[in-house]
Amino acid sequence: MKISRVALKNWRNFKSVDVQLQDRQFIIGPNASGKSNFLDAFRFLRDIARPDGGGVQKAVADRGGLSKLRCLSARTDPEVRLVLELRSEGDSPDQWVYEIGIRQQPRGRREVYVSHESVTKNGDQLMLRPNEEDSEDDVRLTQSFLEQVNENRSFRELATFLEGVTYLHLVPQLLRYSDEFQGRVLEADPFGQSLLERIAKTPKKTQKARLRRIAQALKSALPQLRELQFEKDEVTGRPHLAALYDHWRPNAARQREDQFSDGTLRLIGLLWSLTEGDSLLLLEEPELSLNAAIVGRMAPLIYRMQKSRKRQVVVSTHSVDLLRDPGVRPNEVLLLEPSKEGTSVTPLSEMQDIRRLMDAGMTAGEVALPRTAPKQLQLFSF
Amino acid sequence: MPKHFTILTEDLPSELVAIKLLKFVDPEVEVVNAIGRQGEGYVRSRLPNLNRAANQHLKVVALLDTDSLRACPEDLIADALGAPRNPFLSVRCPVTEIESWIMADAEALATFLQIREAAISDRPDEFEDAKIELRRLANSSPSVRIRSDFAGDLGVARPGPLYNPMLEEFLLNQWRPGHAERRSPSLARAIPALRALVQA
Ligand SMILES: Nc1ncnc2c1ncn2[C@@H]1O[C@H](COP(=O)(O)OP(=O)(O)O)[C@@H](O)[C@H]1O
Ligand SMILES: [Mg+2]
Repeated sequence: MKISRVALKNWRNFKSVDVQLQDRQFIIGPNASGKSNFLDAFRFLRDIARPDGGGVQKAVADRGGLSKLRCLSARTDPEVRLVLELRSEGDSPDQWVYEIGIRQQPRGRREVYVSHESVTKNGDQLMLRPNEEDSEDDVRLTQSFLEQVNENRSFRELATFLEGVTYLHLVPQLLRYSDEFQGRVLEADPFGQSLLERIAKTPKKTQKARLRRIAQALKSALPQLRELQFEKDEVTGRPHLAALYDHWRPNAARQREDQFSDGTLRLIGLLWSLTEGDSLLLLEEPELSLNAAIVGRMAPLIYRMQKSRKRQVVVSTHSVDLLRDPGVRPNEVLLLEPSKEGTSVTPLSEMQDIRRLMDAGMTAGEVALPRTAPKQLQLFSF
Repeated sequence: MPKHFTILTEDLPSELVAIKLLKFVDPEVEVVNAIGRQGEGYVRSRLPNLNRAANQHLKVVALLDTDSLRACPEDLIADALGAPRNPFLSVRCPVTEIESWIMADAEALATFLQIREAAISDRPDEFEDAKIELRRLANSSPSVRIRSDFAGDLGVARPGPLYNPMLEEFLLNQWRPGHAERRSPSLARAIPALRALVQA
């Protein structure tokens, strides 16, 4: 499944946005424009959908409560609402829409509750809340149907998709998120030992096929790489990732992951994640932990990995290098621009001059990223 | 109708000059895309693309230093474009480089460098190396800060550590295109050309 459209109302610094999403989507914007907040909308739905996750209540509480989530520039409308439009793969793709609205009781126990929830499939409404039972027992509204296996049967496919949303921040020790993200930073440590364990758990045949695909894709960044193998250390029994490099010597040189540079290991972890599962993958500023040469290859690497098995990828970035690839299309980049009325989200394809510049061969990195830099131009308001 | 411009320049000081010039010829101009800050080779490499992209709604101004008194701006531009010039794109060449235009507002520069105006040449376009001339002037300043942070050691091509930021500040706050055009013929030619482009 792919998310083809997302609409956010009063979600953090987005008062009202509604955009299409592509299979490969880059998110750019100045500091504090809401790139992380945008990604967090998908993580929020994932947290609700996770069977062990604690549902809406915990997803909201983990983020410091609804008052933290609700857009500060939301005036009279107290509801936070998220809408996803999704498309399933295959010959007769299904069109899904999931929508959830969340509010807080204005007084009393100030409970957080689901003020609206609906699912449609190919235009047919499968679920709409509040329903009759909800009005008889309003405690029911403290939970979404998305989080309840008994209730989400008719749209299990959708729930499973959301559950599979993966977020990768390539700087695992990054604790700059204050308490609102507490305990969530480690939600997926894709590198080091946990990567190896995940590779080890994968059935041999699949494992081999994936490593072959990764090695193939990596060739553009590491031209001497010949093969990636997964092997057990004969002495300790510990699993290891090994790379065979073409070398001047007759036998290709062998290198184990403890000899890989951090950057290479992160890159392999990232590519492995692309082969794992088929739900949305969120990448937060990957340039922070990869070297510039590799960052410059990221866009085509992602594209290449998506060829055989399409996993949708949304990447937030600041990097000119990442967006200097000439193959990135204008609709694959969303520009976040803060204003008093909340941040706006615009695909570059809808910005006429940028689109024209890109059609003339300029790259998104050249023409759009300067807009996200601290504005020199504002000094010229005379 | 909004007067949107895209500019292509080799560094931040040139970018500021281009913006100031456009604002000078028409305060309603808005520079919506400032591309460059990656040196002169980059400006050359991207000129053909912008020459293709420019149109009524996306006017383009590029600055390209001639770098030498012998170079002919017309040939330089034709060479960089590699195709007939799009009427909505204008390439202007400071002779010999952006520092010539900067020195051309001698009054403001004298204040900035704390030197006598008479010490500044009234023919800034005639320096083979305008940057070294600007640094030489700065080096005659009574201010230690200007000598060490801006001028730097005249024995090497590298200016002082705050050369660019101080120049940017000067451009932002003091430099006046209307005064500079009186002393720099290449700037005096550029201004009406930009005016024509704004009205095109
Ligand atoms: N409920 C809210 N209403 C309005 N703004 C918010 C809300 N929650 C967070 N923000 C703002 O969002 C910004 C942080 O966004 P973030 O996604 O971290 O930016 P980025 O990742 O682009 O640097 C901060 O300026 C913060 O004040
Ligand atoms: Mg962020």
